[in-house]
Amino acid sequence: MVGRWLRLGASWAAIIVAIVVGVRAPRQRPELTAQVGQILAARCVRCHGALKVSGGLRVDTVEALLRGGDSGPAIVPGRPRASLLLARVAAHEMPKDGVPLSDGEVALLDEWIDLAAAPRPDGRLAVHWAFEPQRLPALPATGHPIDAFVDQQLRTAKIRCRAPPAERRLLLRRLSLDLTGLPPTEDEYRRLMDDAAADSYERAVDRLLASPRYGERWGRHFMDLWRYSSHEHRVDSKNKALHSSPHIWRWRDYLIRALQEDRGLDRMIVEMFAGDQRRDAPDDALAATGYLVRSQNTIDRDSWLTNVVDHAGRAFLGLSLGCARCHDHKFDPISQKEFYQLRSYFEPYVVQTDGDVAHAVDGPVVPTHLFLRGDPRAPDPSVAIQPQVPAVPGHVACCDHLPAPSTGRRLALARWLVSDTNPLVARVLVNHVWLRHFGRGLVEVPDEFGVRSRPPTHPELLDWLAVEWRKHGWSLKWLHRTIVTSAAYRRSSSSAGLDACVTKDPQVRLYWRFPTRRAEAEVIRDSLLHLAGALDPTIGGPEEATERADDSPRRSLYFRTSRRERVPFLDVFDAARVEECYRRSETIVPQQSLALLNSPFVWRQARLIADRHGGDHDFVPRMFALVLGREAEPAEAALGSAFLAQQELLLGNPAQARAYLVHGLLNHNDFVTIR
Amino acid sequence: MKRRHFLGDMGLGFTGLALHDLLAAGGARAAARADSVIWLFMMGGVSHVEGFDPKPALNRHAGKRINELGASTLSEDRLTLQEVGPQLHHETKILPLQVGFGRRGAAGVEVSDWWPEVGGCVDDLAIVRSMYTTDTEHSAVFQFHTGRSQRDAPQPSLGAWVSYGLGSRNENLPRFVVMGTPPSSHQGGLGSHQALYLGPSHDGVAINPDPRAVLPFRADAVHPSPEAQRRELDFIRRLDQMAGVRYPDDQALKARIRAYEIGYGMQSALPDAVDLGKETPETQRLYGLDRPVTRPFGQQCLVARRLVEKGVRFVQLYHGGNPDNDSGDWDSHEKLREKHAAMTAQVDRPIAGLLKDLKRRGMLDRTLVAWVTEFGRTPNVDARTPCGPPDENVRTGRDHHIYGFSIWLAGAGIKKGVVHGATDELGFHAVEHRHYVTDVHATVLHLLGLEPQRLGYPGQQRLALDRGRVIREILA
Repeated sequence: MVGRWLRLGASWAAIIVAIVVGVRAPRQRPELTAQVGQILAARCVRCHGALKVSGGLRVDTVEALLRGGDSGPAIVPGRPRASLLLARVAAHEMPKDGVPLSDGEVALLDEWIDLAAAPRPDGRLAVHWAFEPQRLPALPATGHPIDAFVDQQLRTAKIRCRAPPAERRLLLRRLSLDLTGLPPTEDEYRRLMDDAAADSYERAVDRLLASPRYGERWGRHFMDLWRYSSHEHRVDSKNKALHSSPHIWRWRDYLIRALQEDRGLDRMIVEMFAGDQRRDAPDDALAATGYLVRSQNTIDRDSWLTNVVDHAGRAFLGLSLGCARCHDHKFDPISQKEFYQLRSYFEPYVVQTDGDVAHAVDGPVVPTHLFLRGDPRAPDPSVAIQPQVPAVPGHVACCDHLPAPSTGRRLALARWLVSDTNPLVARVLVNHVWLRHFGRGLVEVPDEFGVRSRPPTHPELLDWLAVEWRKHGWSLKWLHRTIVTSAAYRRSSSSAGLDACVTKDPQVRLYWRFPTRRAEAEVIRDSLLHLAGALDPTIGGPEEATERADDSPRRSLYFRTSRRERVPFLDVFDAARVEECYRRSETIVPQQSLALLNSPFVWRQARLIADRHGGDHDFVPRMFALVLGREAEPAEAALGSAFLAQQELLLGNPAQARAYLVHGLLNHNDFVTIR
Repeated sequence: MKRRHFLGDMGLGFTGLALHDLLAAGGARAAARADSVIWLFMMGGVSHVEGFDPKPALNRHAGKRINELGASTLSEDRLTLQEVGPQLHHETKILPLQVGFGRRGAAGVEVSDWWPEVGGCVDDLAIVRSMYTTDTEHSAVFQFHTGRSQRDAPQPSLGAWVSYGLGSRNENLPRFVVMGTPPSSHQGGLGSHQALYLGPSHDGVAINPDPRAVLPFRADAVHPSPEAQRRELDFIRRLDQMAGVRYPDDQALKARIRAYEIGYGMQSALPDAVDLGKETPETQRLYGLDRPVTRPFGQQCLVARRLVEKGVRFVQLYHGGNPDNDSGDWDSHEKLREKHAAMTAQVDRPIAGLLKDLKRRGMLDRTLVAWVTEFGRTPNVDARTPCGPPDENVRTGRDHHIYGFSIWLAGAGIKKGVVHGATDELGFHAVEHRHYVTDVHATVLHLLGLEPQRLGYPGQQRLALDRGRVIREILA
């Protein structure tokens, strides 16, 4: 069914509300239905939807349009001229906000009523795709499942060209950066290049996934997603508030360890939400609740718990629950009451510090109140709030095993998150992992799966991955392995000679080539240290001061990071902001050029790299291969040699000239790019 | 123009390619009245009824509820819209004006007493009192800059279109510069100065105008000589251009090459632009640099003038951003009197100083100054404060208001001393010459010589609403 939610390409917005799917009338056009859905959702649902039913009319399902409101049916199938909906918008009587629909929008409605209101064979109305239960879609072809789905979409879009497989060396660099955040060393390159066996690539994947560097790399991704922040004292008006905890790094180390062990995201979620409430919890489950410690704000409990609920919603459900704090959500089916019901799962928890572990623990149960208009000074005594998960329409049978209202609340919530009936969590997390391999999600905005979100580019692929991933014990390593062994992942990122594809899909949404992205701040800094042979392999431990970042060989994720404390070199390359970072920015600004050109840190690594290889007779081509992960073209090698000679002449110092060559390559666009 | 012809130029020094030449062939360029724009954005929502559209009726009706005033004032239909979300506008009492106002300038335009200095420049302004927008939350900041609600498919920001559409006047500086604390995610995030499909080389470049922080990585710290660095830059540029043959559709590569060229130039141009010691003490005072309260924004305004002087096309200043208040400091749900008094005190003198300085240098003829905010504020008390026993301390704020608010433009190609459009008696609805935010975009683009109806990007569509229409009534 979901396969009928066709991609909207570069057109302006997304499929929104519940729309009929499954219609197989001969003239039916799903993309038209989608466009109409987005018009209705953007312009009409506010007053004619779940939250407000002006004139007795709802427009969020076709059934409701047929049923109509006080003035009668809103649409008459096949008869646009007889349809009130069309008459009202065409006469600019609706919408009432004073901005009429454009002629084009009216024409779409007209066409849709003319074509689309054919009888539906099953009479079923679908809910928004993300709230549909996950079902395992049939594979459209044999071979790698990802490629089967990707090829299907490419065929539908009539895109015939495919970029060839990436050069082996470049592919190994891509893979290594993706899985470990570090480029291969010369030895690692040689190992793959010399291995003629058919499964040499798969073995490289396994080696990298087993590397201790993997946990650090993906730990940092989840630190973004779950808002890792060093502690800080912030002065709000007169009072000093402690945010996060000085021991928060224990949670960071937990993440690294759990990912390295491939513990399964379902277990990790339960441990992070309720590691203190499980009898059979592993030793580090208390540290896992650092997830909740992070939001600590010692003078503003309301803001603390609002953050916990809002960001849990965005990180795991892809829903911006925070909107429902003051009022029913304007678009998504989340009422204000449901926001406070979710909050009540967290209401009893406090932060307790034992030794050097800060963790969540339940204090006495305090009642949760609905705050009128979100104002904590205005509790509504008429509404009783009990722990309850949102009743996402129609499908989630979630609420029958709910907790006794005393303790174990967070455990119950976590179990609901990872239960088979939850339609969202696996989809949202799979999308985050995909985003970090391909530079873009199957769903464009990774924290927005609500009814106003754009539909996935590959809905069936998303569901296939989500279902299979759960079957494989929510194993991230299984998911990585599945993704990186696909042909789509292994394609070259070059579009040379593929003009027809560039024209049809300039944004590379359909993966006819590998979409490149800029390396994250940490990857750039850590790669420099690694190539210089200077990287400190120590895993975990207390946080490093930001002032030491230029001198310390520790990996970048170990430095303090808070609202005010940032490592300047990382900051200029868009390091995660601690308030929220569901997706990194990828800016390209002159300040980055100056950081790479003029930073003493970069120069020190360039000199170290040059000195390690200084005696080599084929210095120039070897440096291309090491720094950029590919052989130099003859013209490039010639240019490099000329530059080396020129700088030697100018500076009268061969070692310094070699450092310049390496430094120049470190400033190459390909060095900061995951190709 | 076919996309690949443009990008196929990559290996051949395409970075010098001025897009406006190509656009000119397509007819998107007309006679320009302005060369540059200074865009002053007040984040949080500035009260129009206590700003550039004073409403004495609020004093007359103070204490009444809007729906007690009778149908003559507001249409019932429109009131019902307010029930959505937090904005239960008509449930609370009308708040009287929190400040006085008077007629200013030869034109005798009413401006509130919170804007004495900008009010003194009113004979140079074209005030538009009939703006509306559709996003009731602070993501209306994003909407004002891109023309679209944050939840729709994002569009490039206005400054990015300007950067894309116009050639550079100075290759040592970015075309599009941003200062001030940028919008929080609640305000729609960095999209307000991003270029999206126009390519990252058209993103606004954020700078810190503090001379000690403007260039954290300096060449003389590492390079033995300028010549050594220059040669290295040449090496890097040529390598990147060679890579352009492999990756002909790579926008990031193109942007990277440009970032190195500008970065190199910025090493000398930027410290010079922010060196306000080169300005006379009189000029510094004009912008309020002599007073702590006006100094931060005054510094940004003066740097903006210096950047425009050096050829920057679009300088965007965010005022009111605050890492600890993601709504923006102009947001005044409570204690509007104190908050607006404090905020206007920060910007009134710097903005007036900027206008006077541009004028006396003859720059105002070719520089467009826009003063903008994401929405206005309600005529009545903010409904979010709980009903109950009157508490004068909390019930003196106004809520967000999207149905009518004010902005102004001044300078190149703009009429002087005019008021355009009007709201109703309460300042509730824009009732005359209503303008959506993209009408401002269209006006700015038009004055720069870009035809908003024709400006586009291969493979991307802008819809009718995006393009807006030029506000011809305020053009000189």
